[in-house]
Amino acid sequence: MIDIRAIDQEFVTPRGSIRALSDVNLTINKNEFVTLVGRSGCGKSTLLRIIAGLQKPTDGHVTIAEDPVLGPRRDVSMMFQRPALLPWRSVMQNIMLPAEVLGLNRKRAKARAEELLTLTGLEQFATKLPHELSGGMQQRVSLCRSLVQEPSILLMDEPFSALDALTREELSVELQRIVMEQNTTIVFVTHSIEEAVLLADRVVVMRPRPGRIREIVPVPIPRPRSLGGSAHADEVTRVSARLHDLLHETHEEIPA
Amino acid sequence: MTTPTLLNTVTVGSEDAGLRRARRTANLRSTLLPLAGLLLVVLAWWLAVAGFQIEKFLLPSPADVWNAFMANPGFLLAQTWVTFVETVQGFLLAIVIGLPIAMVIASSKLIEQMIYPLLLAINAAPKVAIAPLLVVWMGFGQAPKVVMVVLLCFFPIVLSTTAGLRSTPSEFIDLAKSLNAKPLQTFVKFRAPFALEQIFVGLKTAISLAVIGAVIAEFVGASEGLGYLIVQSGSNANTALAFVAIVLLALMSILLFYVLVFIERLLIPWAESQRAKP
Repeated sequence: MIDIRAIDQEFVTPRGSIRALSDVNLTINKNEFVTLVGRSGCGKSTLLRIIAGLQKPTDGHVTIAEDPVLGPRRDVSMMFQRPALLPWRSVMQNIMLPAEVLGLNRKRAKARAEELLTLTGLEQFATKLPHELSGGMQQRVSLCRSLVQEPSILLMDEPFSALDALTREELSVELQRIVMEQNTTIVFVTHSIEEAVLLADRVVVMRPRPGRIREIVPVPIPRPRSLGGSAHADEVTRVSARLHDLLHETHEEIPA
Repeated sequence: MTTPTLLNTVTVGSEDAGLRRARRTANLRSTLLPLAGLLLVVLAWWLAVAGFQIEKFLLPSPADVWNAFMANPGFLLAQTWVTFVETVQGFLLAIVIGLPIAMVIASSKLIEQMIYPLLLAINAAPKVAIAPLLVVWMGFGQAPKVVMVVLLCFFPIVLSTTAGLRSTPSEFIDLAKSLNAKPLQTFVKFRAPFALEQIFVGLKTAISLAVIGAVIAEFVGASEGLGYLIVQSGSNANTALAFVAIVLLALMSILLFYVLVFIERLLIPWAESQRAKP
């Protein structure tokens, strides 16, 4: 579905150029849930922006369904760290924004939006303004907005990192439930190992300076997964431990 | 799933009621306190004039000012109207000229570098010095007054609009880009609404300057208006009448300012609610 080939990314700054990504290769299958994990500065957000077509790589290319990515595509939608809801638009109007901009069939989009509101438990908040909602609810609205155009790929850039720990767990579980009902390929950037293990089919561990892939760890735990007690506790522990090791190893390699 | 959602609705509802009550108290305060402050100042003024037996042509008492107004209210209101019209015309013209210029500046660094120093130069020129020139160029009619108003309030409007159009948070720009929004869509759906709040900061600064501009222009080469009246009453040592004119100007300024505040609340109701959030 997504083919990432030999991506190099350099940023030129007044103090010289910075190598953000170096020789990144990755293939993501249809309907797969992949998380990108790594420390700050390992280029995971940059990689996401390249897949989104928001950033042109210095070298290499990305193809989606055999099509080279030259700019943002309407079958790819993006969700950001902050909800990015327009404060003057109601919840429903915010969700309908992509439909307006992309010129989608309004009736169909509206029906889809209502379905998504029900799915996220927000059906009674359709007419509220964003500031009347809690942070978690705002991010739910943001999720609805990114799904309204029925994307085949959803790119999520640390979508829950600005929320408190409990809301964050609640939303991760909810996201899992929602994506199990949709046919969507998801690339999800996170700092959290717990989140990665809960959500991912495969966890891509990245290391910084320059950003590159350290290892890809499969998560062979059946869904629906849960936080806390589970029949697969051993497996969860094993994968988490592996991820911890990989991330800390990266840390030790950085000269002080 | 249903129960917590229902509970949430209830909390949101009662929060609304609490907010409304708090806002009503705040509104009451915001009208009563300034009035109390004004009354105190007038009282102090009155006591000073009576207590120190100050000459009327130096400082008239509040009663003198009131009497001076009541002696000829129709005439005075007509003068106020003249100044008011000049102010509003100039202000609107400044918006009509300023907004497109700000849009152009905000859209291109190149044009900004070309136009900005020029605008700065125009703004730096002392407007009082230009007033007689405007009379030379445009005569004694309304035109030089309106132009003076434009000159004074044009700059804050351009400045705030440019800043506002540039202040769109980066995630919204990314959102617009990721949706492949056309430039017009980006402007209408994202940039312009985000700019409104800052634009109104500029408009509110500009409206006070607009009144000042009209008065400056009336000081030279006018035959009516409150500025003209101040000059005339000054040369006749009719201080009370000058005070009437000044009070009328102040009232006009306040009125125009609050009209803008009212329009702002109508256009951007979300701004206040966001500010109110702790």
